[in-house]
Amino acid sequence: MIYDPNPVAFWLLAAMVAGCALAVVRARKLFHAGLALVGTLFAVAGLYGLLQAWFLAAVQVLVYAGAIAIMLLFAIMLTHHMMNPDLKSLTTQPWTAAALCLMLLAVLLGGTLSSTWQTAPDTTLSPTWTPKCGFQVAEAVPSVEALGFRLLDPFTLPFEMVSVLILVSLIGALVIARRDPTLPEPPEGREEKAP
Amino acid sequence: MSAIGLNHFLALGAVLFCLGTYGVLTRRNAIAVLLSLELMFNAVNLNLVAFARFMPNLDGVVLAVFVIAVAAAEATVGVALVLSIYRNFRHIDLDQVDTMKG
Amino acid sequence: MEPIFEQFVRDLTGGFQVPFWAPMLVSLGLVLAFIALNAMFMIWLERKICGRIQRRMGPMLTGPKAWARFSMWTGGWFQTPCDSVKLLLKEDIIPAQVDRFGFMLAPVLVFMAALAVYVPLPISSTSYAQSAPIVVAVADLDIGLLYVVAITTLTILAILTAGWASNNKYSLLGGMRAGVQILSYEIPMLFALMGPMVLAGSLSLGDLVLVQHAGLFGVPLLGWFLVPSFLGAVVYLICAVAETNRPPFDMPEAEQELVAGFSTEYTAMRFAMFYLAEFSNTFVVCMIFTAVFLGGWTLPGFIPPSSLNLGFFSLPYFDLLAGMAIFFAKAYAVVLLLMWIRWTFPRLRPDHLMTFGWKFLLPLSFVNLLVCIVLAAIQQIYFGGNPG
Repeated sequence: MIYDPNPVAFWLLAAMVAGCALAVVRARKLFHAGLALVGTLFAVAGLYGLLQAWFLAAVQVLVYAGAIAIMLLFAIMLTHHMMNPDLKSLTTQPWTAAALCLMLLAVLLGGTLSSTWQTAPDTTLSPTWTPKCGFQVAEAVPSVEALGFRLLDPFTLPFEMVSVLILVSLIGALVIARRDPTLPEPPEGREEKAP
Repeated sequence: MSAIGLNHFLALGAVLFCLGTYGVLTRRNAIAVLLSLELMFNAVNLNLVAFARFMPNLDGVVLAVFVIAVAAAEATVGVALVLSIYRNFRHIDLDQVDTMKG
Repeated sequence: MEPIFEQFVRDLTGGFQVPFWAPMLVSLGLVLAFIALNAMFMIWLERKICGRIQRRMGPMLTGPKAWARFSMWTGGWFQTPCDSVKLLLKEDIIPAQVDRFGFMLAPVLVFMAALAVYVPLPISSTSYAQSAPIVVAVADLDIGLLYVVAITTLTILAILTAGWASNNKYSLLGGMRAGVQILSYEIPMLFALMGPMVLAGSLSLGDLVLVQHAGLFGVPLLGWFLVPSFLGAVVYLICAVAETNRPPFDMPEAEQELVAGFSTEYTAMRFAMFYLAEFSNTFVVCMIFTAVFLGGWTLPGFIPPSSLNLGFFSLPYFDLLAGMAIFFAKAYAVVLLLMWIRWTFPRLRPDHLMTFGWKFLLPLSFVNLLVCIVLAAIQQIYFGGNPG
């Protein structure tokens, strides 16, 4: 079965990704930017589903949208006065940055679209269930078993290192964000200044 | 419209990356910068998974899983830093966190 | 679900080929109808059980008098439709200072989560006019278990948005508490579900039920994952109660402390969305418990025939109906257990709640995972692995 992603699904998801990403960088209220990020993450998870990486799509929703984005939303709620018209999310030098980013986009698109990528013809791979045993190396459909085998065989060291990394970042975040009782309180009343 | 191929996904990844870069460069609020940074991570992941699907190779998806884990670790420390800055400066406007300037 | 639906329509109409979008719409309609009817029944049941545990009768005055006269247990079954109509007729107030986008988005998100979680839940399986038994679910996903846990994150988002958008310190506090509570109890829940996943070797809910039917170490009676993963079942049940904000974990909605928590500013239909989503989530959690720990639609050693021969005609899809009956009987038994727990225990304080989740349930779920891994290894080595 030749892999043929549904064009309607792709364009819908791509529109959602682009629209929500634009909202993230341009929203006036910070919470709306956070919600737009969650929208982007869900749309990208949908794209992973379209690329038949179902496990990664679930992990994306579970970890990215469900933990990282929520944590960022909590940070927004803790460091922001509630219904402030959000002077702080106004932008600095928007036109220069836009020009730079357009140039970057041109370079990236030119580079990727003009290269010929060595993709294999997709005539022998089936997008549905793969057998539990009999793991094949050149598997295009990332089933959960195949991912598990890959994580344990070639990628053992990164797997273990990532768990240590997450532990380290957890401890580090706790230490950094902890309120030190020996330091004096910062002066009150240094509120957000208008630009 | 031609069939959706690798180039479509790569182009979308490039657009997402550039939008993220625009956000990181322009936004003044520290958390808004973190949000835009997550967009860039997602663009990279999208590229990885697209390559993993179109040239049959599972390593792209495995690497994407690692990128998600590392992004979680980085966002955690980033938020901790933002909270610490808020506690000291009472705001998180990056243009005004400049006490080291002469 | 598509093969069954297409076969059914073909049988009924003599060869009509349904368009590709028809099974999706039919599933959506069925799930919506089920959510509405089930909520009505469950709310009535909740109030009856609440009444009986508190030594009073519960709703008795609505509905035909004959039902009330028959027994204390059957009266007042028309109460919930009356309450729904009352709720629909209430005035929809949007306070002036709220963030309108977030305020209107939150009930939509919470209902999206409540609806989306029904997709991988298997209620039966049938082999009528099919070459092999097919699991009846909206879509039996390969990653069903992970999908279900991932959708709870949408609920967290909805509650956080509701709390923040209401521009009200009680709502914000309630929203943040609810968000943190659900987030904290998601992790022991995930690990409790990992035990059955290891025993079955698959994340698909249909596969989990089929492996339970096949039995543990060759014994069908021990097959239900309640037996090898008992600790996991207990942890999952507690986490499920916390996930759906039910008492004794309902600090975010506690009337005595926080007015109504994150849903303080919501009236009429928007409040009805939160309420409906809460009851729908309660039933979904019971459905997941049934599928993962109680053997789903199967009974040990009993396989219903695919069509029952009643002499003058044969009832088709009998195994589907029998499976559904068994599944819903088990699910409602778990619902009764949850309601019993609700009206018996006092509310947990937030710091007790967090301590209980992080310092007690999480290590327990790790222990359960270890036990399940050992049992799965024994099964693999000595008994030739699990089937399917």
